[in-house]
Amino acid sequence: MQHYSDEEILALFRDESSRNMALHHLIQKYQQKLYWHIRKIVISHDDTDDVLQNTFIKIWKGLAGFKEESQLFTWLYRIATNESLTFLKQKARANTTSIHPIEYQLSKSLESDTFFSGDEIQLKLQKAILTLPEKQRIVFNMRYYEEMPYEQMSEVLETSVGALKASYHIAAKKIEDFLVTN
Amino acid sequence: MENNDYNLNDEPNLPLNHNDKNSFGLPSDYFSSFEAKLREKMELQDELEQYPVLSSIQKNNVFEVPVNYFKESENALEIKAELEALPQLQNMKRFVPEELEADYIHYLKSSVNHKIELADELKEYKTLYSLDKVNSFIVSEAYFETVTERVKERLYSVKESKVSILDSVLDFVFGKKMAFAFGLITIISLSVYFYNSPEKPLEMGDCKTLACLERQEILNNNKVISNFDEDQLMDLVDVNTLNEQLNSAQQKTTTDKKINLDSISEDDLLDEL
Repeated sequence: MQHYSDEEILALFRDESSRNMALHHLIQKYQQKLYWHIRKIVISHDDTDDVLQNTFIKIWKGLAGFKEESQLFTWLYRIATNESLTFLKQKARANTTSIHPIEYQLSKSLESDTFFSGDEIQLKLQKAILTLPEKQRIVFNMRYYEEMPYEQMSEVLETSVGALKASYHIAAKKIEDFLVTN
Repeated sequence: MENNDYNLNDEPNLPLNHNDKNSFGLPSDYFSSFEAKLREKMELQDELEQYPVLSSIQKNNVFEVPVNYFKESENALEIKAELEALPQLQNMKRFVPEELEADYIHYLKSSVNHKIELADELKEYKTLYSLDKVNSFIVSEAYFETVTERVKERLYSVKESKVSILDSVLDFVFGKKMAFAFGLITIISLSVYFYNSPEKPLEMGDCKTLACLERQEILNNNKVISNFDEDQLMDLVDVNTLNEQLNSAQQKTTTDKKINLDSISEDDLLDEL
């Protein structure tokens, strides 16, 4: 499907009469990318759906203030990442009954998730990823699955390229060790 | 021309027999059908002459076809004809490449380099490298088709609920009942306030005399100074200020007395005696 360019979407947004169309095209263009980005962070489909909707609502409310200094794509990713992390924090705070960290709970929920079709090794890989600290997990997913260049990741996560490279290699090393030992 | 049956072969500038060393070729039925075609054309022109406006318009084809349409359709027909001879192949789904994006070639090089870089990075981690990079997460059927509608629904419901809350708050605040109740409460509150308004308690620095101190203690601490013992009283009194006040009062009395004696005349004194 041919999508509108970011410039076209922003032009549609600026015109009051075509604003609704801009929302439609914005969602159509970015829903899948953002969904998979969020899903890798929050794991559950229902939670992802919730965060995705919140992300689009936030994007929509903030689009008028988007200064076009960065690419629309990186701005959207930044919002999605922040929304996902906020969601996880809220979830961790709400779950006072468990003594385990949120990553452990996510890892456990993955085993019974009907929306997870991976085999044993894929499950193990996801569990290995979930042992990583938040930031490393995001960096690893963005690099390994989304194959995002470090320069773009740097814009999204507002971190230097060098730090991201180091973060990715540390994460990959940890995952490798986890897979070997388990 | 005498002969009405005009024969092109009678034309003096052409060779009598067109088969003789004439390198120009003609469609086989060209001359036999020429007259009929000419008549048809003349007939059409006669028809059009009846409509002067229509005949004045140039007969152009204003319709266009996509670029390479005829070439592609010819190619498609050719492929179809070829495939008809191979029924098994005809039933198979063919891969039709999508049209390349305009800048695809431009970014191809960097894209390939990026892929190589990613692979090189992963090579360091043998187990990770050996795994298939698959997305094991799945979504519910037709999920992405409904996202737009659900986001819109939520977006507008948020707006509507905001408006309705605001409206109801405004209605409540500026309603007649609320205005009446507010007025009544204000009157009652003011009445109660003025009826019970306590005198402002004095602060420690406000007064320096013993009388003031007693009043202050009663108001502030609800205690009577007469119940205080000597030490408590001494603690409350600022000795220096008290001395100053007492001295100034003594001086004033002496001066007043002096003034009074000076101002009395001798006659008045005698009268008094």
